Amino acid sequence: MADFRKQFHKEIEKIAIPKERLTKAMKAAKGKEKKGLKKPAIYAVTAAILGLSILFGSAFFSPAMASTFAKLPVIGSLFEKEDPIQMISEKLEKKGFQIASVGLQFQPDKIVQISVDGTEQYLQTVQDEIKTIAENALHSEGYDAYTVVVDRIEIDYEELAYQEQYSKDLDKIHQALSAENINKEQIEIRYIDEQKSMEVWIIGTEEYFKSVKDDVKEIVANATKDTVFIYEELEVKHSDEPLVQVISHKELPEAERKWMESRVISFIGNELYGKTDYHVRNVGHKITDGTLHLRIDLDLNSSDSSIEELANGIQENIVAIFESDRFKPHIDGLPYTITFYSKDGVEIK
Amino acid sequence: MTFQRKIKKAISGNRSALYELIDEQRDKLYRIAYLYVKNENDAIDIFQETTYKAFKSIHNLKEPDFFHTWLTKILINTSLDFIKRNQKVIPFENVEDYAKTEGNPLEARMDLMAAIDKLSATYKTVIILRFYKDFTVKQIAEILDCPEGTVKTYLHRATNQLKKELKEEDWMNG
Repeated sequence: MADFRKQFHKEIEKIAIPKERLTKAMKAAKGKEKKGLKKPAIYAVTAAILGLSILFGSAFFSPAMASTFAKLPVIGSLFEKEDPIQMISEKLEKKGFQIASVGLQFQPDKIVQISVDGTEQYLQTVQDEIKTIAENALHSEGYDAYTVVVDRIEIDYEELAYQEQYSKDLDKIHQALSAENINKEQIEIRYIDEQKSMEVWIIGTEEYFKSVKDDVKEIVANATKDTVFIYEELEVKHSDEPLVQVISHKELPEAERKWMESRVISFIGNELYGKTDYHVRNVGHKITDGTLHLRIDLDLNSSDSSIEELANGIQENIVAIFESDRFKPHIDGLPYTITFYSKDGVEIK
Repeated sequence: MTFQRKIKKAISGNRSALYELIDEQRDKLYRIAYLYVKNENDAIDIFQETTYKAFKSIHNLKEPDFFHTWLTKILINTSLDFIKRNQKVIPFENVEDYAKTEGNPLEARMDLMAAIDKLSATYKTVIILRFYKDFTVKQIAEILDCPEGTVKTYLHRATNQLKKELKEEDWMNG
């Protein structure tokens, strides 16, 4: 058997590898899977995105429970406290680094990942400096829980160009249609590159569909000449309802909208995740009937004697954040609950 | 960064990490696909589709330890689907061509690859997984979604059939 295996390996390894075609194939597959446009400029990818309305805040520190609180981070001035991603992105951009993205990961490890847009050589040259800048920036805000990782990313410019052209050509179609009073809300385009199939869905009543379908077919056929839309057959289909329902956050119930627009949840997330002294494993939230329910999972067991004080301290800091000048105007009066769980799943207090 | 770490990153959505992980397996993945379809274009198609599927469903992978079997499973399924869709029958000439380019005595070279080619898809799969990817019976069972006992039976039968093919060749060529 060992001989057979060896021989088998030998034979197989004789199969020639078309390296370039394979690399191209990989990139094409990766790009195709990606939804949406990937911009070459720095963009923030994070579970929390902070808004930029910055107001003065105040420091909060409760002298009442000294012992464990001494270990808890003082919130400090909330004035100009930035989202770590934004902060790092700006610093690096100013220094002229070619950055593709800066990302934040909470689980399973707390990582700030900075991906440069360049060759392996470029990465080697800039890696250490970028790491230092990012680490300093994080520490200056008191975020000591993150590990900084600097790597590189391959931007598929061909795919980018395709996406841009796709958007332009799609606009072309819609323009041609609206010139004939057929609006965007009444039309949905489904184009599948792999199958070379093109579907134009007309949204509305059966009568409406019948009255416009021939015109639509003609208009779209003309508008798609010399575009990225290459198809064998153009199908016009009917639907009573829009195929994709998009709920803009403007339609959310008012209380929920206020919570979201204040960005306080992401601020709290950044704060709690970013500092090791909080011992926070997970911050979860849900909004039901206008009430914000915050759930905080701590990294201590229920048997740990300091866990109650820790939970109390965190709660007071969160309340301080809610009451601060920065956030209070947006969420004043809105109800909330804060619950804590230990590592072994026991609710605290 | 450790392999474990990289996979976890990939699972949590880091596309570069996944790209690198697949890239490390590139040659092996391609060669296995090639063993099924025996031509470059189709093998590349299978490889590309496998990569696409991996990117699409990496977040479904629960255990980093299963990364290799998971990826191989996608590859095998994609290859078998491809064959089913295209009903490819490998003409005997192709096999001879392959042998010729190696520039070695026909008997010694052609035997093994030709014999493998003659196996059914299932038998070919277990042979590849066992003797090229060096997977355990347990891992093969995972990939093929069948009991370990079945894998052992397939392996047993496949290797017997191979031996038969090879013996017959020897006999035929004197």
